[in-house]
Amino acid sequence: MFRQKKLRDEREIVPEKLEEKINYKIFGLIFVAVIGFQLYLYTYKNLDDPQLELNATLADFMTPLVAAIAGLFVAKRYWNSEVFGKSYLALALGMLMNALAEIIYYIYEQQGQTPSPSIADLAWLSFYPLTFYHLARNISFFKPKIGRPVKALVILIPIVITGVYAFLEYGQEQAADAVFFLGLAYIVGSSVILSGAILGAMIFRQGTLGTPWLILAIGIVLTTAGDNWYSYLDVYDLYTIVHPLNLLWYGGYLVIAYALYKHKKVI
Amino acid sequence: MSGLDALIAKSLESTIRENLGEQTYQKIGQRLFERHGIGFTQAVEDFKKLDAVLRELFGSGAEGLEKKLIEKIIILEESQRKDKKWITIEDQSLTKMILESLGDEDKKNIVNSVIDESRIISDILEISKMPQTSGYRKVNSLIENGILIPHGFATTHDGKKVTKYKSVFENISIEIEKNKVIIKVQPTEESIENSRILQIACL
Repeated sequence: MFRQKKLRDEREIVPEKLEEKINYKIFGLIFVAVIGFQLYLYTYKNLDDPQLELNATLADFMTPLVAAIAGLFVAKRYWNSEVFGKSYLALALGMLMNALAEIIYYIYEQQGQTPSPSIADLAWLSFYPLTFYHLARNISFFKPKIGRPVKALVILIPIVITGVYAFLEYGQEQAADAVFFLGLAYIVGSSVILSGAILGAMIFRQGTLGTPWLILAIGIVLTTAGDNWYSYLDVYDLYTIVHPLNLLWYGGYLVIAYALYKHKKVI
Repeated sequence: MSGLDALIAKSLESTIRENLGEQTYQKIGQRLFERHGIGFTQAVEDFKKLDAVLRELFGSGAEGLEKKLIEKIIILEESQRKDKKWITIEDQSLTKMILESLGDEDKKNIVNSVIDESRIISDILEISKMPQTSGYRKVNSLIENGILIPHGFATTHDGKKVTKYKSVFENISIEIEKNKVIIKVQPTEESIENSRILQIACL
């Protein structure tokens, strides 16, 4: 009886301020899962083992697919709304294009054709404008006027990242060929969405929607860091299928999926 | 609440639904009820409470959200004179409501009688030459729609204080472009000053 009364009283308390906390156990779970998978990949002695390639490709395909499915759920939830519906559909499509790119890349490799530059790059690159649309649609709707210091920061991040890459890549290759510009396109795209994600997290940070946006920014930071690291490794031809940078991509997409789940929960 | 806010509030609710979706609308409504004990319609009229809940959910994004929502209803035109601002009514339901009010000959006479000067209802009816019963009904309908706003008091011969009313607009212009009716209104200076919603739109 007393217990029932106590429970009823607890239910009646209205929180002064709405709070949405990050569940760090989910981050831990993602961390353990991606590390576990990476350790599994290390068990292969031969890097040319077809099974290793298949397993790595499956992980490369599945992680953005999980994020895409989460994005489609969010887009469906807000389908009739002007802002959320379209912007989350764009983000989901961006993830889907990444998943598709992995499959195209794998098929090219299996057929003995050059996997990059190829149509796979086009699919990967389409992730950036689609994600940019998602970020721009939300940011322009919720914060049409941005202060000068923030604007400067948002512009500076892509310039610095792209500048450093262009300097290193050009210094290594001494040629501005198609490969150079393709690498540059990845860097420009990833650094632009990185600054957009940071801006989004700053705009919503004092509201409950700030939590999913912070998680989304973390996810995008991880994938962007992966893209940048890959570009630098590619310059020096150091990337292998079991390289630890894969952790950033796997982890990044799963964190984005968690951000989308959180968005659905908050609003 | 400002008369202008009451007028705009009629459309704000549906605009939130259209832009942020039914789920978000319900979430905002749920929080308004548990935090302030009011429904959405009341909160739109008590804009501070709606603003507080939007900030709780969207952080500083609430500013842009409010501005965008208001811009879907009205557009404030830049003018040299700050006290003489023209507002274009974008929302069609609001346009319809204003047209219906002004299309009625009696209501038009009522509004005309209080454009320059605030008056008590009995004076309005006398000037407009309207019978008491239907006259009161039409005046009340204009007050409910926010076209007439309370503006000071008058004391009757028996010492009672009676509210005086004034039109929320000084001038109204109606244009027809193809199939679209465009209504531009010029609110009174004090309507603009007292409108919380317009303050946000002017940011």
